[in-house]
Amino acid sequence: MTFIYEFKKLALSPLVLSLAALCILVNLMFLLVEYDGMTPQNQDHSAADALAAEAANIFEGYRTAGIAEFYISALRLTGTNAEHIRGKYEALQLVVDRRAAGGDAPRTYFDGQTSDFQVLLFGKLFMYLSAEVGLLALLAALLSTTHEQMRGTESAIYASKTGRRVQVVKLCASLSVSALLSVLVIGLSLLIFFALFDFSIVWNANVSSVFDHALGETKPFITWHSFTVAGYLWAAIGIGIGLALCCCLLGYACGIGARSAYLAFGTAVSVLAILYLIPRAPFMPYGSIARGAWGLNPVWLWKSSGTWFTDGRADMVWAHFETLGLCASLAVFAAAAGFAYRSLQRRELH
Amino acid sequence: MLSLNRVTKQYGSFTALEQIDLEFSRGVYALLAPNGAGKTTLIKMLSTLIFPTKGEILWNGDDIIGLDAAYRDMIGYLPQDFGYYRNHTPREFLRYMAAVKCLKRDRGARRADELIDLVGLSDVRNKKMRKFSGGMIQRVGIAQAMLNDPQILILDEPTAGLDPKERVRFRNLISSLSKDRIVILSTHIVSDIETIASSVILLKDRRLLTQDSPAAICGTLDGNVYETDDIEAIKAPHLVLTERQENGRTVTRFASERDCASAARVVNPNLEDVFLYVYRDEER
Amino acid sequence: MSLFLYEFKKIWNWRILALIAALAALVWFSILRGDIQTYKTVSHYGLSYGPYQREMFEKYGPTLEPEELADYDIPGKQAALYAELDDWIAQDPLFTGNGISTYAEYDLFRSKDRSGMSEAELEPFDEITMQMDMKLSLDEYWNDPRKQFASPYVRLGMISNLYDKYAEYEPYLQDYIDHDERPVVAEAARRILARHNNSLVPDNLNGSVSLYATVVGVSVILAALLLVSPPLARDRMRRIYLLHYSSAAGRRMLFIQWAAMAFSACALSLLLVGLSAIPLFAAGVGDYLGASMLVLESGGGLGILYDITFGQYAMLLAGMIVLLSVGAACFAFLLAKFSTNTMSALVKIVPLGLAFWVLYLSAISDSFFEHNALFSVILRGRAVMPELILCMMIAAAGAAAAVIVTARENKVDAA
Repeated sequence: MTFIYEFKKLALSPLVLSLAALCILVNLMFLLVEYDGMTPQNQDHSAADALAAEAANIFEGYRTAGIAEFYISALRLTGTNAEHIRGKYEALQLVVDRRAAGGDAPRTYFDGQTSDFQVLLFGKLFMYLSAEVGLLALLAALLSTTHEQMRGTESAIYASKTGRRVQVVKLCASLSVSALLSVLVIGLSLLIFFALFDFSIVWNANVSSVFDHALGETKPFITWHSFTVAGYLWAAIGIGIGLALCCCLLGYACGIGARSAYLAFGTAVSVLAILYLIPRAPFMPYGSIARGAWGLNPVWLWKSSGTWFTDGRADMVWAHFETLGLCASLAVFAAAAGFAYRSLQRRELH
Repeated sequence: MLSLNRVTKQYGSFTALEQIDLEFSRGVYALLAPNGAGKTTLIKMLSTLIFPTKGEILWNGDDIIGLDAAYRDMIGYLPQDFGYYRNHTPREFLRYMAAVKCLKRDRGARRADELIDLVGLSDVRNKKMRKFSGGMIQRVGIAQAMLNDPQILILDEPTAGLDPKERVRFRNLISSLSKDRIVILSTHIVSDIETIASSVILLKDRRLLTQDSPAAICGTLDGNVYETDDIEAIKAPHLVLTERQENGRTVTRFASERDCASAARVVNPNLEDVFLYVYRDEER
Repeated sequence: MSLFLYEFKKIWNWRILALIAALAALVWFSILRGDIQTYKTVSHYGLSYGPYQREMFEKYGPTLEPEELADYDIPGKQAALYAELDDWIAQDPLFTGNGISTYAEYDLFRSKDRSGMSEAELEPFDEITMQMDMKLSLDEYWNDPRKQFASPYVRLGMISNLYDKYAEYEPYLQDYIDHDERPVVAEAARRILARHNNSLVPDNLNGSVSLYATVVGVSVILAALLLVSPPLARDRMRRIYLLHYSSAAGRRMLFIQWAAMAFSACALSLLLVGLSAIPLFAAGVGDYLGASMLVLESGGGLGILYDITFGQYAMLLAGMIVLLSVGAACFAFLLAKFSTNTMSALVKIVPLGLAFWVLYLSAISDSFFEHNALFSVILRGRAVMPELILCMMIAAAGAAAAVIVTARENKVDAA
């Protein structure tokens, strides 16, 4: 029952709803600008035409060691750092060999504009979407946890039978609303995307058809698992929502851990800034375990949104970095939220 | 002299106060009305926080809105939910408020120290207000209102939430401050008024019901307030005011416009009786 | 004045300042320090020209006249470097083992027609040419340009670039004048041509400073928002504004609070910009304060489009950051004014900060360059310094909106 009240408090908050609407509006504007500059040349082609075009088994004879050596040379990696990168691409070679043996013959579509669409949807749009839903979730959690304090009802509620357990209910409500808002913002933005760009002809094509142009190289977009475009989209949505939930847990931990709304927000921002900036420092070189582990944080997962389910370029040391990172981030932030809640249990309220 | 001429306050189609005429000269004026009757609206208009929709408020014949800062320099205001900086000490906060009241730095510092002594916060003058009790915070509130030695002191529910000891202390403080100024306080705690108010203002149905001394207002019920330990014996229409236990019996205090002297003892009415009688539910 | 100072003091909360200092340190160690240290930025051993341009600058001042170019004798220096390279190659078994004993032979070797090679031939060919190139360029010192400069091969590349820039600039500029449809760009090319591309400002200076200013600019705006937002929102949450409005200062307090916010934003941004300039100037950029930024860069691209000195350019960038900080503070003031508590103010101010972040990256960064998005994509190169005008407009709009709201407050009920 309390859950419904807390859920309604958040879900019907004009601030949260306005912010969600603002996100969708920003995405609409972004997509209209992109549409203006990049209309596919042959959107009218039939599915058969598109799928028949340029079929080629890009995996046959492909050596991932080349990618590894490229990164090692471009980033001047040596020693164990270089070995980590080599190790990752050796593992990827097994995937390539398996898919080559299985006769996977990815194709290109959109008449050579495949990469542009790949970058637009999974690179740019998903990066914006992940940032937006993450921010919404963070603010929703902060809003929920500090609501009673802001309204002066904190003492009355903490002294009630529910007591400080209300913050557990608020966590459930924040997570639910974050997930709901993520679905709303991602769903409506994708609806706009697909209304502007016709993807119907490629839903069942393999996502590896497209090419990634990282650091000026041309290498196949190799996923650890074989995905269709539709499957990859669903998986990316899943990671996006997962990141939003991480942000929600962070907001929750800061919201009940700090005694003022402003301090809570400042702490959350500082945590995110540290997560983002630390790997840029010299003591975390490419290929190192430290950088690989740190790269599993939600901010770096967000930053590498265009490479989810692939090798993750030189930033990542391990396969399935997004799944690994998401699970690790959820666990760490859930622990932080739990710790903050435990400290609330013993905190004196003046 | 402060006077209100046919003051009306409307919020859209809702009328909060209507055609209020009042005059204030030196002394303590108590605004007595139930919650939501417009006390805070009137107080806020006197503090220039909100403005009359119709009518005018005059200080010695000049419109207070036109007087602007000159008027506000003459008032001291303690809001209902007094806001303060939790990380400030009383001294820091009062010095800040002295600046807001445009007092010169030296005078502000001197007044702050004087008032801290006056309101009995000398021991904690350099302690952060974070852990102050409600009474201590209210004392800081009255001190900030007094910083500019105001001719008009406006206090909105100043004793709400205070314990009896703090309330008595506060009443004495207000009484001592009222000797050479107008003190307007809104309250629904009648015991506050009986001891210190020179004039009571009753508001009802958004209008001014009466303005008179406490004795005169109590006099309106002279001969109509009774006490009995057998209320069932009273057959005439009456309004039960209060009940209390005395020697194991329930003594009921009631008001009736009929003569009940044969069945009950006539007692002197007090302000609480008037309050309950005036703002009674129309059930009987 | 004392009221203003009190409000100013309220804003400059040491906790927020400590948070800003911590974030600034993080930005410095993770981004800016690396930017300054890398050879791509302001090092005298920088990209393209190494210390040659610096040498010319020290010898001839901020401009290079034709007789000075002749005096510098680039062809003579090139000839000496070729001779040095020949010696290097003749003594190195990697080259001699492959039948190469002079630089001319190496040049011929690596220019072989690759299309005629089979897959099996291509791989060893690429490998050996890569090794030779790495050896000649002292690649093991890739992160130490000072040591790498010992290579005559590296120096030859640099001096050749310098020659292209100061002797072969005309075709590039003429191409701009003849074909570029952006009037401001064509005019810039005409001006550079008229003065014979004579500025000795280092090529890497404007790009490095612009990149540095972008990081500093975004950080400063966010820091300004972080600093100025809390007090007003807190005053409204704790209803202290009721005390303000009923005091002698009255509703003028709101104006004073706005002034304190705007001034604080201005002061903080000046302070942070000043602090961030110290390492930049310590790296020696101050020497070029009087040098013109209007120059054709290496590779034939235009740098800054306007006839301003580096000092003026730096001042303009700093001014734009300050203007945007003040504008952001004004909008934050409005959002806080219409919020009942700190959290609701934050929910509004966070998107404001992000909007300014996006605005900076999309319209303000790379200011005064031909590839600035506002200048090139939106205004099609027709407006002069649109980035500066935009910053001024944002600050003016914020200030005007704040003044209107504070003026209207005189007639509004304080609920």
